[in-house]
Amino acid sequence: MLAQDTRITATPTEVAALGDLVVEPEATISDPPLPAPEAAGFLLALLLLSPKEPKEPKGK
Amino acid sequence: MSSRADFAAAADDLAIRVLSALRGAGDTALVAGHIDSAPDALAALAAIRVIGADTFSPYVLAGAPFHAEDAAAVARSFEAFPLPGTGPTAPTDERTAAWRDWATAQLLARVGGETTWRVDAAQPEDDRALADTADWQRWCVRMAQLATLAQPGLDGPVHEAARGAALPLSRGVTRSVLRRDFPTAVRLIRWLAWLDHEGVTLPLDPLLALEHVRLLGGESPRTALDLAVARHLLEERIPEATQEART
Amino acid sequence: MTVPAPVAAAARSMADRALSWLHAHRALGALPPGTTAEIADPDGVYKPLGETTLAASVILRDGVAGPGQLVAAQSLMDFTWEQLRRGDMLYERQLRHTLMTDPLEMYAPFARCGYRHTDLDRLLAHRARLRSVDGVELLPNRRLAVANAARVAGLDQDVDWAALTRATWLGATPEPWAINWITAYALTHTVFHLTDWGARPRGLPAALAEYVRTWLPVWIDIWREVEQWDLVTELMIVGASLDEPYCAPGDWEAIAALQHEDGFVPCDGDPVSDDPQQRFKDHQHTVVVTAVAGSVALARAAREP
Repeated sequence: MLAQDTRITATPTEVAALGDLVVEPEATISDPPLPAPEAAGFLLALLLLSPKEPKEPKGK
Repeated sequence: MSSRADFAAAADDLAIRVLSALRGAGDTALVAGHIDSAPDALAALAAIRVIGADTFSPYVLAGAPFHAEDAAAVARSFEAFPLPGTGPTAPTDERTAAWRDWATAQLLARVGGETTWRVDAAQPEDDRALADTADWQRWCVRMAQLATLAQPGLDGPVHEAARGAALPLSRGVTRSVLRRDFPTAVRLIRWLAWLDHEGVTLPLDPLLALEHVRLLGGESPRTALDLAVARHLLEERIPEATQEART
Repeated sequence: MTVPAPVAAAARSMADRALSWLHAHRALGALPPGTTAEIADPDGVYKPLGETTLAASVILRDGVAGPGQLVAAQSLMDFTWEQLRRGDMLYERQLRHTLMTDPLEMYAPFARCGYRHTDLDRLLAHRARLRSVDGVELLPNRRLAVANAARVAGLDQDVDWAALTRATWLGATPEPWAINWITAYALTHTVFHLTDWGARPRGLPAALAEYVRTWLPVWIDIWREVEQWDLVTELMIVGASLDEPYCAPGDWEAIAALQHEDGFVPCDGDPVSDDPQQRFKDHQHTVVVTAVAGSVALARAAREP
C-alpha cells in the first residue's frame, strides 16, 4: 500500500531501466522466410534461373 | 532497488488491468488499484510511464468513468521518474520517451477534467527526424516505440508525420511480420488502424494483418493491449465526447 | 525515377565480372561425355548450361557491355551450343518427349541470338499447334516461362497473357507479409517472363507494377538481412525491369561489393567451398543472376533520356 504522502524517487539506474523499457528496440530477426526442404520437389519443375535446391536448414 | 524485470512485470500487470477496463469490466479506479496492490511501489509507478497514454484508453475508447485517484497516481509516476530531455541536443531515445510523456500528460489533462493533477510534459523541440521517412526501416522502429500516441484525442507532429506516411508504415508492418518481430508489427498496425480511423487509404488491409499477428504472435499483456486498441480503432465507434475532443 | 548513376556503375561492374567468371569457368559446366538426350539428372548440368546461355544472350541482346565482354558472351554461347551438339540434343529430346517444355526453353536464348536448328524449328512449330501441348498442367509462372520462350523463338501462338498473369501469385496482388522464399522466386519469374528479362517493361500490367514497386523494398530488405544473395539479386532484376525502375543504390553497391574480383558471387551467407567444382555447382546460378541483373540495369540506364 502506497500512502498518498509518500514521495518515491528513482535512482539513476532505475531511471535508465525505465528508459530501456519505454523505448524498446526491434527484435532480432527470427525464423525468416528461408529455403525449406519441402521446396525441393517444387524446384525440380522450374527451369532457367530458378534457385538451387535448398540445403539442409541452417537453424538461423 | 527495482530492476528492469520488475518494471516489465508491473507494466504487464497494468496492461492487464487496462485491458479488462477496456473490455468493460468493473467500475474501479484502475490505476490507483494497480498502485495499491503492487508489491513494489516504484515498479508500479514505472509501469504507468511504460503504458503511458494507453492508461487512459478505457476512458478514451470505451467511455469508462474516470476516477480522481487515477489522475493522482499518474501524476505521482512523473514525480518518481524525471522527464526526459526535450531540447535540440537530447538523444533520439529521450525525445521518443518525451513524446510518450507528452501524450500521457495531454490525456491526463483531457480525461482528468476538473482534477487538480497536471503534468508539465513538453513536446520535444523541432523533432525533424519525425518527418524524414527516407530510412523507413529505422523510422518505423521509432514509430512503433511511439505507438501509444496512436489513439483518438491526441494530435501533434507525430500524428502529422503518420498521416503522410501510410506507405512507410505499411512497409514497416510487412517487414516486421516477415522478420517475425510481432510486438513491433502490432505497434505499427496500431498506426495503420489509427490512419484507417482518420480515413486515410492504406495499401494493405490492417484488420487481416492484425488477425495474422494475433494468431501467430501470441498475446503478451502489452501486445494484447496494443491489439485491443487497434481493433477498437478499426471496428468500433469512439464515444461522442472523445470525437469532439479530437477536432 | 531513373536508374541512378551509382547503380549504373555497380551494374557495369557486376555484369562484366560475372560474365568473365562464367567464361573462365565454363569447362566446369560441361556435360559428361556420352550424355544423351535422355539426361538422367536435368538439374545437374543441363539446366545450368541453359542458365549460362541465358546470361550470355541477355548481354548480347542488350549490347551495353564493353566490346571485350560482347566477344566473351558470344564465345560462351558458342561453347554451350557445342555442348548441346549445335541443338541436336534439344531436337532429339523434343522429338522423344513431345510434351516436355525444356527443349523450347533452352532453345529460346539461342534463337534470340541467331543460333537456329532447322529441324527443331519445324518440330516446335508443329508442336505449338497441339492442344495437348497447350493443355499440359504447369504452375502459372511456368506457363509464362513457356509462353515467353515461344515468343522469343518466334513461334506462332495465341496466348492470353492477361489470363496467364492473373493465375500467378503476383496476379492476385496478395498480402505482401505472407510471402515465403519459394513464392518470392515465383514472383521474380512472373516478372522476368512478362517483361522478357527486362526488355519489355510494359509487359507487366500497370497495377502489378505498382504493387511490386510498393513492396519490393521490403522484400529486398528482409532477404538482404539474412544474406539470401541469390534471391536479393533476382529481386533487383525485378526492380530494374519495372516501367519506372526501382534501383536503390545501397542494394546494387552491396552486391557489387560482395562480388569477388574474379566475378564470383556467393548464393548466400554460408561458407564457400574451396573445391572449384563444388563452388561452380553451388554458386554458378548466382553469378548468372548477377550478370543478368547488371545487363538489365545498364540497358535501362542507357535507354533513359
